[in-house]
Parts: sequence; structure tokens; C-alpha cells
Amino acid sequence: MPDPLATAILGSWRFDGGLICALLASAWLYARGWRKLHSELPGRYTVERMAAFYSGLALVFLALESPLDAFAGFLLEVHMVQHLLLIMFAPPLIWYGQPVMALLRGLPQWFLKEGLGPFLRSRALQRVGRILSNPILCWAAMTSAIVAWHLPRMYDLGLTSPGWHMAEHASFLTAALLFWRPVIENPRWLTIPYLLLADIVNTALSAWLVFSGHVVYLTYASAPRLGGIPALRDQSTAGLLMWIPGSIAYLVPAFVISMRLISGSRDVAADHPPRQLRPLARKTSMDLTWIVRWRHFRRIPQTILFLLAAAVVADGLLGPQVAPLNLAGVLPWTYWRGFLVIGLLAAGNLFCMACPFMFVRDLVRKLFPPRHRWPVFLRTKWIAAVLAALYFVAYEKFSLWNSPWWTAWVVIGYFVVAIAIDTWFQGASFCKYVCPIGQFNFVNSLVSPLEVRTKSAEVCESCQTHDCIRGNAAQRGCEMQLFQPAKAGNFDCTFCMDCVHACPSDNVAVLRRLPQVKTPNRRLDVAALALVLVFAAFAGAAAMTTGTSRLWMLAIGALVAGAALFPNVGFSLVPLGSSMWAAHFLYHLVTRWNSAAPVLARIFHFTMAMTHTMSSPGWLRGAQLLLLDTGLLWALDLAWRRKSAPGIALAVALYIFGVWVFFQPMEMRGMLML
Amino acid sequence: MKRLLMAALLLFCPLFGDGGVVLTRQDSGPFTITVFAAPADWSVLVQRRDTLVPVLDRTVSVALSAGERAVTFSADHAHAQNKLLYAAPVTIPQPGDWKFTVAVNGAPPISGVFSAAASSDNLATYWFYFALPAGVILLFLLHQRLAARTTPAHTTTNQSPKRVYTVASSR
Repeated sequence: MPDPLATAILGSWRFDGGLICALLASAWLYARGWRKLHSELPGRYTVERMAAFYSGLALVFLALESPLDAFAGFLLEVHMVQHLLLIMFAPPLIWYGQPVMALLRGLPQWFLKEGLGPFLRSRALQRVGRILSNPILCWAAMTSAIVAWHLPRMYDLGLTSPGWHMAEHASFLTAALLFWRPVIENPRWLTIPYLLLADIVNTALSAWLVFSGHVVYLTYASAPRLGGIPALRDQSTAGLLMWIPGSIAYLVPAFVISMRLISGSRDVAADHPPRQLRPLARKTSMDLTWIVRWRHFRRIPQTILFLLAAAVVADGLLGPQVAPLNLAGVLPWTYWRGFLVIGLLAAGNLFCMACPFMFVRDLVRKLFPPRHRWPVFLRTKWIAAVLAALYFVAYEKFSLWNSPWWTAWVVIGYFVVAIAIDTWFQGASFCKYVCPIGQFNFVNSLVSPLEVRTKSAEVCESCQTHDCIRGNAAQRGCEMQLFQPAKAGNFDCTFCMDCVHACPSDNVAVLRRLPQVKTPNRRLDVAALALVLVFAAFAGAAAMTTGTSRLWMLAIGALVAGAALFPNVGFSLVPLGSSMWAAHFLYHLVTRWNSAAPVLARIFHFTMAMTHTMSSPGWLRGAQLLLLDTGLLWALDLAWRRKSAPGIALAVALYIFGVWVFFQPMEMRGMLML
Repeated sequence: MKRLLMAALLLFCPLFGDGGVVLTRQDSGPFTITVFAAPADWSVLVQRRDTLVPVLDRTVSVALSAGERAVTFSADHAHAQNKLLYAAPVTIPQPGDWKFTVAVNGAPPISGVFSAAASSDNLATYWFYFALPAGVILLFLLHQRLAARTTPAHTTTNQSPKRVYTVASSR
């Protein structure tokens, strides 16, 4: 049987999302770059160096996330091990992996050239780089960081404040990275006194801790003594740890460097001339089409959503009219909206792909094939924009989230209208010109990372049949009348995969792309639709607040209405609107993730202990702000490219409003408060 | 003198336990109980009085009261980063002086008084999220300035003309 104390100690990990993301991103970039460099310079970018780099990252993770961090506030010796990993062991391993070129080569080429290029070419920044790699400065940085943070006042400050503790670790890691770079990358005779002098400082500090005779850091004097270890003994052990492994970390490299210099060994890379360059087997973009290649793939998610819609209707009409206890009060307003927006941001227009309305429509069309064409004068987004606006007003006015009965009728109405329009008119007239959910998806999928597009322009140029839009005997073409070679972005694309299946050359695929906001053209109706959805994103979130937000909503409404005078503005704001929708729906999904439990308990007749369901985790507001930050920066970039000063001003105004909304108290909508 | 020193230590040298300061450390029955508090969580360390070995199988509950307002909660290992502690997320409803009572089964409860400051859940707490876009904008402006300096005045483009398709419009 495992020792419970040991289990508790070994289980005291923490998982800091920011640090883990940074380490994973570094590891991923390094792997990409190393792969390229290894094929070109196998003698320099060896497996050994890659292993060293990853070991360095692993040590940083171990120092900051493992139980070492949890116990650093109780025992100085544990804290010392944490610092030794950050200062003495992780940085040299990282530098041994030759990370600079590998990380740069791991970046996307366009970003390296256009994003980082001007910085890398800048003489001023090159001068800063030279200064930062000056060995005297590097030595001084490391020594001063170590000495300063071991002063009792500074050390206690780090122990009593999480912010200062983080600053302490950041300064240690930064100074250590500066210090170890010349040692690993450019070892010379002068490196030996460089290391020996650093060891003298280290030894002096260690001796002070070992022989001081009293507890130097007040924090540890009053900390609970785990296992009865006296504070003074803890301090002496910490001093010895700093002294012996610390000195080894300085003296071993000094010895190895001196041996290598004496023996005159050359850089191993010199023995391995660059390999004849061969093109790497690389793909320009990830083809995800294999997932949806099966012709009937769409029917599976459509059937699931249809059954869920039927359950929502049945429970909404027949079940109890208490939203938190009814499927119609929980499924659409908590889960469906949250997963819809996550799907848009993480992949693409997944809901339209799985649309249950089209599932029924296709079945009905087999009996009643449509014969008419949608009137030319109605081929705009005006109807959809007005319907979307009416829907948002109705949602607030009639508290749809709180009425299972009305929710059920909205779903029924959707089915009826979709079937009526599409059995009368050909193509996907309902989707393209009427459906407010579809318009929401079309606009917000402009920021999605996946897109249905052609693999090769040359194949399309030689194509004579244009099956992607016309269809063929086995497969209909695009009902939205999107011609693949001319298609720009995701706008109006339902991810139905008809074009993928229709293309005889297998040239249409679901491909990853750089998120960009592309619109087919600058139509006023499309811009108006975008503005409605952006405004609704902010107004919908503001309506959740219990404060005096209505005046603010009016002000923002006036601003957005004013923006309609500048057609360039509409689509610039789409990323900001998308981020606000995501932040809003994420809030509902996270704070009410377990809201299905009371409904399932009622339906399946089991009892469960119901406690309050409202809990907002600490990371949620940070995540919301991060989403809004991303939306703001993206919107500013678009407005900048379009040279739209009103777009920039409006983006900043909406961002400030969004932040203000996040800090308002929220109504407990649809919550079961017991 | 020693007591004064300890009091001064506790006053001026708050400890960084599971992200909190030490409110009190008291002997109670067979245990020594240390109570930590942070803006968003409370944690309790229970040790054997004789050996100071942490005790992990107790039930810990905390009651806070200020006038007529009261908050009670139980603390457990699941909410603690340091699994030797019993912890619970808790928000103090209002600033001011509060009395706390910590009950550990198998020992008499301990109590004390602490002063809760106003909530720090304000804009300043989230400075990083506001500094981030500002920093990126500054980098972007610097990038534009550097790019303007380093880009040659006359550049030639070698793009092939776009093919015009006439099969269908997207409208």
C-alpha cells in the first residue's frame, strides 16, 4: 500500500496554462526547425542536441510546476533545488540544443520573412543583441541576479508575493540563459575564469547560508516545520546544495572546455560538411478531407442533431416549464451555443454541416422536388439581416432562454420555414438568404482555421465540366452557388462537402489556412449583416449584466449604426464580434457545464444531490479577456489594412465596452438556485 | 519578548503557503493546526503535535462570521496545490473584521480574528490582459517603422494575372 504522505507530496503538481503553452509552443517550433536543419546539417543538428533542448525544457517544467514549487514556501532546501534547476541545469541544456536557428526555421516562412524580418535586419536591434551577448554583461547579469535575490528582504519578498516570486524565477532564468550562452556556444580560454569567478560568488553565498548560525530568511523561521526539520538545518542543507552541485555545474564545464582547448578538438560540424540539400517531404497545408470523404458522412451528425432537436421539442412542449429542469431550457442555450462557437473558432462551420433542418428538407425534397428559382430582387442578405436582428430582440424581449415552450416553437418554426422555402425554391435558398443561424455561422466562420477550397489552381484551369458547382449524375453541385476557384474564404459555405464529392479530379478539400477575413465583395447588405452580428455580440453580453447597461447599449448601437456609413468598417469588426460571442458563450458553458444533470435526473428518474450550479473558475475571466484581446488585435489589423480610421476607433470603443461588460455582475439566467 | 517577536513575524512576514498568508498556528488536542488565507482560498495544515508529521485523514471545516453574516465551508486536499494542505476556494463577502473557527475532527476547534481587505477583483488585477494588446500594437508600430526603413523604394512584383471565371457569381 503506497505511503499516503509520499502520494500527497508527489501529487502536488500545478498546471499553469500560460507556461505549459509557452513550453509546448517552443517544443513544437524547435521540432519543426530541427527537422529541416537536421536534413541539411546532420553533423551540427544531431539527435543528441535535440534531446538536450527537450531536457532543458523538461527541467524548466519540473522546476516550476512540480511539487518543488508547492513545497518551496515550506523548505529552503526544496526552494534551492528549484533555483538550481532554473539557473545551473536547464539553461546550458537549452543552449546545447542550438535553439536559435531551429526556432527561427520552425516559424512559418511568411512570418519569419515579413513579421520578424524587419526586426532581424534592424541595425539598432542587432546592436542590442551584441550587447546582450557580451560576456562581461552576461556574467554581471547572472551574478547580480543571484546576489540580489539572496538578500533576506528580497528573498522574503519573493516568498510572500506570488507576483514577486514569478519575477524572481523569470530573472533567474533570463540571467542564466544570458550567462550560459557564451559558455556553450563560444567556449574560449577566457570562459574558464568566467566560470571560476561565478563559482567564487556561488561559494561565498553558500558558505554564508551554511555557517551563518541563525535563520537568515524570516519566512522560513516562522513556517510550519514539515516533519520537524529545524529551520537552521534546512538552511544548512540548502547552502550545501548550492555549494556542491552548484560548484560542479561551474567546474565541470570549465574542466571540459580546458581539455578540449588543450587537445585542440574542432567543432564536430566541421567533420560533417552540409549534406546535399534535398527537398523535404512537406505539405503546404494539412488536408483534412479524409474525415469527410465518405459520401454519407454528413448524415451521421445530422441524424444526431435531428434526434436532439426532436427531444428538445418534445420536452419543451410536454415537460415542466422550468427552464433549468427542461431539455429545451438547457440544451440549446447552454450547450449548443457554446459548442457552436467553439466549433467555429477551432475548425469551421460545423453546425451547418450537421444541420438537422437540411436533413429533413432533403428527405421531403425527394417527394416534392422544387421547381422555382429564388426571386432575383431577393438575392441579398437584407432579409437575413433583419431576421437576425428580430431574433436577437425577441430573445431578450421574450426571454427565450427561460421559456421551454417558446424554445420548442422556435425549433418547430425553423423546420417548417426551412422545408417550405426549400421545397418551393431550388438550391439552398433558405440557407443563403433567410436562415439567421446560417448567417451567424457564415460571418463568424470568416475567422475559422479550416476552409473548403481547391488544392491546385492549375487543375481548375484545365477543368471543363465545373462539377463543383454544376454537379453531375452522382452528386449535386454547390447549392449555395459558390464556384470553388472563385470562392473567397468561408462566407456562405455550409461545409456540406457537395463540392468535395462532386469534383472528378479530387481537387477540392478541407484545408487548413491562415485565418483571414475574406469577403466575396463589398456589398452593403453583407456589411450590414456583419454589423448586426457584431452589435448583437456586445449587446447580448451587456444584456446579461445587472448594471445600468442599457444606456451603454444604446451608445454602442449608435456607434455601430454610424459605422454603416463606412462600408469598409463592417467586416473589420468581425473578429472582435466573434471573440465576444466566444467569450459570452464560453461563460455559459463553463459556469453551467453540469446543468444537464437535473434534467437527466428528471427524465430518467434518478435522484442526485443538487448543490448550487453557479461557479466561475478563476481562469475564466482571463480567458475571456484573452479572447477579446485577440479579437481587438485582429480587427485593428484589418482596419489598418483597409486604412479605415473609423474602423480602428470603433474597434477600440467596442473593446473597452466589452471589458466593462466582463466586470459587471451577471444575472443568474436559467440557473437552478437551491 | 519571544512572543512579541513571533507576533511581529506573523504580522510583518506573512507566509506563502498554498498561495496565502499564515493567519494562525495553534496546538489543539494531538495536532498543531496552521491556517493560511489568500484572497480567493483558505488552506489548513494539520500536523501531529509531537512529530510535526502532516496528518491527511481529517475532516476540516471552517466557519467565518462578522456580525450577522456567516460563511461556512469544508476544506479538502482536492482544492490544494500542495496536497499536504486542506484547502477550499472562498470569497469573503465584505471587507472588515471577521472571526474564524477551524474545526478538525479529533481535536477542539481553534479560532481567531482577521481583517479582510476589499476585493482585489478589479481591472488592475488583470493588467497583463490589457498590457498584451498594447504591447503587440507597439511591436507592430515598430515593425512598420523598421519595414519602411529596410524595404527598397522600388520593388518589382512577379505575379501572374488573376484568371477571371465567368461560370457563376457567388451571389
